[in-house]
Amino acid sequence: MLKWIPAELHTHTLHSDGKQTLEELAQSAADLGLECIAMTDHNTQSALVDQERVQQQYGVPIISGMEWTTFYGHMLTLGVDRFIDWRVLGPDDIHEGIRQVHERGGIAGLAHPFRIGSPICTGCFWEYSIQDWHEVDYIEVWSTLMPSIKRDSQRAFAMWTDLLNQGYRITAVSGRDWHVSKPDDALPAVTYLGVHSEAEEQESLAIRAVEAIRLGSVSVTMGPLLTMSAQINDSDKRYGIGECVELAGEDSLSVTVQLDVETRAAHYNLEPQNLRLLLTSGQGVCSETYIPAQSGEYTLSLQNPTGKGWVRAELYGYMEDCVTMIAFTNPMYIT
Amino acid sequence: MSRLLYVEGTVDRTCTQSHITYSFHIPQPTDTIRILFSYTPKLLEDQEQAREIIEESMSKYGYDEPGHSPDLWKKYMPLQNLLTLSVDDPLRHRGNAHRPEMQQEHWLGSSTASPGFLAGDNPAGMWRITVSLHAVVTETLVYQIHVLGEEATYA
Repeated sequence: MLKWIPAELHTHTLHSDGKQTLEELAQSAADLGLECIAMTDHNTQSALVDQERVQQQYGVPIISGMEWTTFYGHMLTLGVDRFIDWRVLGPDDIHEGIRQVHERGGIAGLAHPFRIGSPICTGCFWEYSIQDWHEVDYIEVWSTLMPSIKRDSQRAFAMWTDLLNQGYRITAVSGRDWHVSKPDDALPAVTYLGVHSEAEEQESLAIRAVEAIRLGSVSVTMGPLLTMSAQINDSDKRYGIGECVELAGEDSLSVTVQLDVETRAAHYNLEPQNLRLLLTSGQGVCSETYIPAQSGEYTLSLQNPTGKGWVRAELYGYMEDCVTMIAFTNPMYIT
Repeated sequence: MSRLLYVEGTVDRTCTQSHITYSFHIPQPTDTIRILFSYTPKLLEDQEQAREIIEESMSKYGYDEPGHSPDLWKKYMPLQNLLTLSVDDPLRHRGNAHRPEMQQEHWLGSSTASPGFLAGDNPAGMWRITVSLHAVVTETLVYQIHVLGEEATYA
């Protein structure tokens, strides 16, 4: 059974340049209906000395992480609780860093790769040379508050799409880059992680959350939860987000998109309207329909699915005085 | 209280995106290591130099699309120097103070440490303090590091 956990994957405390304690961060996360956070301070993990106590006190599992705040890019690492020395790596050496992250059971992702760089925001623009994108686990394609309207998020989203078109399977997430909470904050996005709730209950949720990102079982939204599944012909087997669908030439694929406006409904405002729902693939838009802003399930038939490479759902509509992308799923991959 | 290291250095813009590491010996286990770190100046006050540097950065990173306001560079003012400090004891990495203040005080004690650092034993041996020069935007910059050792006092 897959359960969708609302998470925030990019946070800071006063152990680096954040303005909040881990307790305050966990309290704010709980207030926002988040069920998991990643602790990703700049170049330190010292906030994690309070990890056990804080996650018990606030009921919010905390993923051990760090933001490698380097001269050539900011790289988020999740699921690693030991220091890996970022200071010794030059602009052509990031694969050595990623290798060490993987060796310690973690995953590595690009943070805000198109934010303006040095010396305005030092190291914020991704300038490491990547020789093999297969080794990159994820990209923070939406960054900061109201991310979908931000140009650097749009550039990151386009880069991700281009990499998918080249055949890479890279997970896309959002990251608030959460340094402080203010009463007039704009709307944050949320990364929903699809975790298996039955399997291996003894594993902590933080470990399963990292695994969900590794597997691409992820959906990103500024409002309602958008998920999808697919079936080949009339088969009973359902494929989920992040999974690979193997098709023969004559097979048809039906994709069922679920919109859930009840989960975390108190934390965003979605006015009555017709929302634009797209299925996109390596060949562009392959299905477009308008749906009401209420919970529902929509089955769309994908024409000539073989050769499309991947397919994801995207939701557009009116939110916070903007007409914008509201949510997107990670892809299912088609071979 | 004993003075373990005192250094003062001057760098210029060529040092941006480099690390300066001081290795030094602590002769005996020490209850608390206290580090005073400061640098000056913080801001590039020269408007014309700031405009040049910012416009170059905007161009490099694709933030200078045609038609933008000629004053857009002001959005990224003021330009700031950013130096961070990290500590490695003879056995392990002890943490990093990634924060913008130009005067900082850190301590590493056996049971508590200042934010960014891990508490624990402070063993004898070769220690390292690394200054990471993320941004040097002023023509020159002067920094100071003062390391002090404190033994526990027992009543």
